[in-house]
Amino acid sequence: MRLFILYIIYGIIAVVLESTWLSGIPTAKYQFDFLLIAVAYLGFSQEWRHAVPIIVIFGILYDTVSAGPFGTAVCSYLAIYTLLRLVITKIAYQSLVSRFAWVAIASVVDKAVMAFLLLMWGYPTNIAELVITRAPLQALLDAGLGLILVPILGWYAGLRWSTMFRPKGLVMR
Amino acid sequence: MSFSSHKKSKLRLLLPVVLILLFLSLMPRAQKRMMWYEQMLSNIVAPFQWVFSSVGDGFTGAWDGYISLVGTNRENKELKLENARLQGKLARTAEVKSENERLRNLMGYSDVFSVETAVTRVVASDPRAEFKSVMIDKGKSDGIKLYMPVVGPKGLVGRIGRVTNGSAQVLLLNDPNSAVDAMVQRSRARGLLVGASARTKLKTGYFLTRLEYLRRVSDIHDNDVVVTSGLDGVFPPGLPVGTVHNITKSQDGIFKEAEVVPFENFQELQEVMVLLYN
Repeated sequence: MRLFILYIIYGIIAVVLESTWLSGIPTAKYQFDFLLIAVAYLGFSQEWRHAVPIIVIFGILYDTVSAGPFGTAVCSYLAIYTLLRLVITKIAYQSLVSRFAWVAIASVVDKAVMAFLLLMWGYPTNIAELVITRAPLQALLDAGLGLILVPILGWYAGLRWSTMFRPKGLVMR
Repeated sequence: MSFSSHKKSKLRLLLPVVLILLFLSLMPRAQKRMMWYEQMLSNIVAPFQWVFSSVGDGFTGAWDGYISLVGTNRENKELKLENARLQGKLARTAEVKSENERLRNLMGYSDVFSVETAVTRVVASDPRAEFKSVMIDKGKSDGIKLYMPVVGPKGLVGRIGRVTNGSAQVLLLNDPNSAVDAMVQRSRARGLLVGASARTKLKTGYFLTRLEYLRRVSDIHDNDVVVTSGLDGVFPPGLPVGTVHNITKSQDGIFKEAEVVPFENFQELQEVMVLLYN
């Protein structure tokens, strides 16, 4: 429950920032996706019973504020989580290179799933083309952001009232 | 260890610290607040500066205020203060005037179309780069419904995409899902205006739409004004959309296409008006 509340707060703040202050940053074509990085982190470190409800809420939040078809983000984030959990025993996500690569892969999977769903739901093909052509650079951007954000999310996931308000300088001998 | 060598070793330790502080102070700073060490030094130096400055001012004041130009110095200071105050007021007035002008332009539409309107503020943008939409701060409770047209001070912005009680999503003209029945104002040549945010042949960041399915014999030239035709049943006729650039043949060669630069700059939208058509 603690993790759920922490990440829902994170999700709301991330979506609000992405749609207001960070809208159009770094460019109009490529934008930060903090939720994707959080999904990647959950895929690296959390079991499904803790992560899946959070991911579903993330997807719903994102689809609510976007003009894209509802359900796109939910499906793509769940797909990313599933992929990461399938390979988690075979990768060493703690290393920088591995983390960079897998967040980039997660970003590409996000775009691929989105393009597939748009085609399936009968949207104009140029949107799917647009999504696919932007995927490589977007993946680089997300991977770079992931290098910084994933450790921070790890620290954030460990936040507790007792650690935040523990008296400083207390030494147990 | 002798006293002087002890003193020397302390100085040697102090030197790197001083150099680090010096280099840090030379780094370009984006923040407006002073660093902690600057504040500390400033708190030590500031009282001395105040004392010296007050004494100097006292001497200068005595000379200027009483001996050389009686009262002129005081009047000059008062006028400078008044000038600074008026400059601030002017800046605030300019902002109010700009907002007034935008809102007047918007109100012009309600006179032309004789419909009820709702002026709203744009509060957020689409977080996905592939879709172009904005959120406005009014919704169902203000009479806003799906597909209602949305206009800005300069021209058409889009239509309502989703609505909640207190907010609504506006699908912009340059969204790939957008499609508006439009025509060239001069020749009445009709086409379908679609969002083309993928392909921008003009300068980067300039949002474009594309007029498709123009007949090959259509009379259309660069800089022609495009307006809504009203034939799609969503947008009233005559709403200004943009200007024509770069006319080409379609890929299959049957139709013409033209890139249309919207009058509205969608990145700078602040207030928009929803035309409350039923």
